[in-house]
Amino acid sequence: MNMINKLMIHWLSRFFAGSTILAAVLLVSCGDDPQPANEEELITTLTVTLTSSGGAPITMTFKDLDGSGPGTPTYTYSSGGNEAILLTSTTYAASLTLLNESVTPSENITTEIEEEADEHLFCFQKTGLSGLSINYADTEADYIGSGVLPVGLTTTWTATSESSGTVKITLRHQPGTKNGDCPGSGDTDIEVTFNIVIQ
Amino acid sequence: MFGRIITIYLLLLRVLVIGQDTCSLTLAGSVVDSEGKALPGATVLLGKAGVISNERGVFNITTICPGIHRLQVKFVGFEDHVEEINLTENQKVVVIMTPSRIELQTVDVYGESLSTGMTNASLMLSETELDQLKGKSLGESLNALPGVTVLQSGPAVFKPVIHGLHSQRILILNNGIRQEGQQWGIEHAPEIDPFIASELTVVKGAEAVRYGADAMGGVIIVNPPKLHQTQRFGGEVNTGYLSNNRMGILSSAFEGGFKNAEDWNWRLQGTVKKGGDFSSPDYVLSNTGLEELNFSGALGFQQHDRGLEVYASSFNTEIGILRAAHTGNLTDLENSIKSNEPWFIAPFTYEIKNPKQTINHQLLKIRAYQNLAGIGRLNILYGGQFNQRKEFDVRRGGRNDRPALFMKLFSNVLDVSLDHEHTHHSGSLGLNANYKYNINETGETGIRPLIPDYTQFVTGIFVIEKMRKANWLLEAGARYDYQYLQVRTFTFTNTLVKPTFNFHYFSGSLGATYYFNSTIRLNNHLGISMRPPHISELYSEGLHHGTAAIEEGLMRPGGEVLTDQELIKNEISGKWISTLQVGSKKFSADFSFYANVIDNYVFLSPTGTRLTIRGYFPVWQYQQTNALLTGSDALFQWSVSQKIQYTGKLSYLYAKDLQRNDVLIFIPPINMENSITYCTDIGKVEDCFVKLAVPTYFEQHRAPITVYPSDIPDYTGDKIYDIAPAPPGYTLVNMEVGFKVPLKDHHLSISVAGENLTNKAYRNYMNRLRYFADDVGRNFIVRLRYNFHSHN
Repeated sequence: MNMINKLMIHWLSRFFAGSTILAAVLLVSCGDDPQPANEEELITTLTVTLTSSGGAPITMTFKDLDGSGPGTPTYTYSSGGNEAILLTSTTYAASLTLLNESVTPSENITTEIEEEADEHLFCFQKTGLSGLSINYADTEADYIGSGVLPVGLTTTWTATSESSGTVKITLRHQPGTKNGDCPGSGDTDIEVTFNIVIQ
Repeated sequence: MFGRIITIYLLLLRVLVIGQDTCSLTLAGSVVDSEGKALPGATVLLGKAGVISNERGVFNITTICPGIHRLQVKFVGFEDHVEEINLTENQKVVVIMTPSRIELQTVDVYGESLSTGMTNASLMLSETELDQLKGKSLGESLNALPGVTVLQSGPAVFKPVIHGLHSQRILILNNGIRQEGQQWGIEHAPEIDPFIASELTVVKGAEAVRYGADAMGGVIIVNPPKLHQTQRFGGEVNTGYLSNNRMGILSSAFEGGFKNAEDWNWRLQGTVKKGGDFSSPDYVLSNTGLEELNFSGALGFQQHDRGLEVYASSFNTEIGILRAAHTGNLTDLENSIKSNEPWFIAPFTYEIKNPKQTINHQLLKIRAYQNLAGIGRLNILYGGQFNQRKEFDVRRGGRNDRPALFMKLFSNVLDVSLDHEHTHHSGSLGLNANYKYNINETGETGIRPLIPDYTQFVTGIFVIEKMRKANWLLEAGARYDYQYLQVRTFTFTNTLVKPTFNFHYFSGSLGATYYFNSTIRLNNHLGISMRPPHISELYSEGLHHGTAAIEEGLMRPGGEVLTDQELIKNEISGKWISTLQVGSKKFSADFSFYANVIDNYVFLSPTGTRLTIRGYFPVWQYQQTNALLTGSDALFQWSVSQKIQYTGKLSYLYAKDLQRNDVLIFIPPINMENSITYCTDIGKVEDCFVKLAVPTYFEQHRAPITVYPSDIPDYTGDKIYDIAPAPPGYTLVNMEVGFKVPLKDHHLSISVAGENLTNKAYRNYMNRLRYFADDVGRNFIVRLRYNFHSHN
């Protein structure tokens, strides 16, 4: 009975709220132009920054400003070419930055991921890069004070021998089901593939 | 406050259950012609109480006081039958009707016989059939009729499909008002509580002349029982329990009159449902729970020559969507499809999490009629509806409480018609007006809307005439509509564009019924209708998480916003349906054949892929082609003996894209059902029956080609494709046992049904859940129904 009571309250309140809105729509309606959606949840830009003890940082960026819209996304590499160039026998500290540049000022999505570190996991999948290993360099505890599973906002890239190929970076959203497996359960929020050459 | 409402509700229940009275006699009977053939739809009046005979010509009038009553039976083409009946105990009568020389004179009382073309093909779910479907959603109930299938999005979202057409191509009439919800989406089910209905009728031919363009594929008519002119309290209480998702259902209706106002009557009705996750034979279908709370009230005034009815209803539901059906991109979709089990399986729960839908639909109806001497009957009908739909996705950054889609649709309908009845002909002349206003709450969603804001105004005029001559019943109708549409949409650079359109379109129908003799008749109906594309077909734009596809309207190719009306072609549909009906005491059959050609048929076609930060997505754009849908439905009933009845149903549909030489997607495969019912009375236990039903679905061999999600980025063809092959055919075993026992002065009906008794793991082609999981496993349903002082 308590359940029915709760349900009744739940729905009756919705009904009356609905009726009020109905009256409001009746009175206000017609005329007001709609406002464009403020898509603050959109991720438009992913930047990978690789830093090593010697040399300038290497960056690679994927940018798509209109979400599912028709605009063509762009890849930008600090090498100026169509791939990131890594050196053999070098260890790089890699960090990821996520932005929403569709709104002004642009929004930092990296902090959103940090705040929900226990729900998110970046996966790194190599193709053809025999001379590269990628290891997680962070845990959930670095961002939210607890948790031992990796997040992947920072990783260590170790280039050993000459090879070339791609790295696919996937951001998995796994609320309640994260267990550290890649790709594991959940939904994909980012799936971007970068070209890499080790020489 | 709410506690008090419940207390009053329970008190009312107790009073009504305990209440005794002396007016408890029942008059049961059947209406037949001189050769003994049942006459369904005859009007039976006893004093002021009136009922309509069912499809077997049977009627039941209860709560009659002892005494002398005047029984009057009316049926088109027959003389009025009038007799005096002295009732001292429950009585059964057979009313034999005499054919009339002056035909078509006596169709009246409620004017209902004019609501659909008499020469059109229609099928009705009888009260007995509806009883066996209590607790199911509207769409699922309609699935029991041959020719009607459902497009499902999981175990709780059922969208009716008539002869392969659905959404904006079929119309649902809810208590006489066209249902105005967000019916364009294939995951949007009709917002109607089937417990309000005492009659569910499906008209399978086009009825665009009476109802406008969206009735081109057929009409579903949901009718509550008439308000009975009675002073007595009456009503019924239904309860049910479904074992599979542990769902409880309570629905009741009360009705009565007023002491000092004899012409006024009222009814109150309400339904509450709560169910948890459904289960397939091998696993829980996580996050498929639902809850629903619906209520309605009606107040009516009726005199000999005029009447008024006010009706209000509220439908509120929250439905969980299978967690594993929500996908972020093509890789997710590929993994979900290729895996044998959904990736998310949790223990059973009543909790509904994201993804989910919450829907509220409010309706207010006012209907009035007045008989005008020498002219006919004037009907005026107003309907106001407010539909609010919220869809919640799995979101980031604590946005799970914010809907991803939030639309409010406000609509007003005004129908005025003048019906006339003359010696040899009858007809109707009418005017419809419909004003709709749709807004998206993008401030709350923070996501670009799938369909834009719009304002739509439609007016139409129609005329329909029927005449009866010898063995023929002939019918013809014509209609003209004007539609004004203003769209308020944004380009991808967020510039507001407000295109306006003016559409003019026509429809027409011709029908003829030939009566071979009193047991065989042939109906033929041709309906031509035009339909401007719906707003969703014109300006859809965005990513669909259920299908991981970007959808674009006809006027949004490649994300552009087109505004030139010349680019839009009206759909032009011609549907011919021919039905042979045979009805004798031992055997009845309903066999129909139809062919529907639609020029400029709007459909979704793959046009390429688009790279985003989540990887590649397929782009599906609305395009126009020429389509053919043709097929046949059959229904056979054979009374093997007085106690045993066999029923067989079969539907076949062939659909083709004529212009592109391709198939159409989501066309129901051949399906049939064989059932045997054994009925008997055991002492005081009445209407005891055992029913065994075996439905069979064949594989859809004319399904689109399969392109798995991982192959989509490389797909360059223009044939429509599906992301998984059509599942194999299957056969289920269902059984039901029911009976009625006397309780106080009335009856308690009890039934236990078992569905999918063999617990077969199967997938249905028409259920979008098939991409991710098996369908629902074994399910037992217990139903109790107590009827007190019911009037039909």
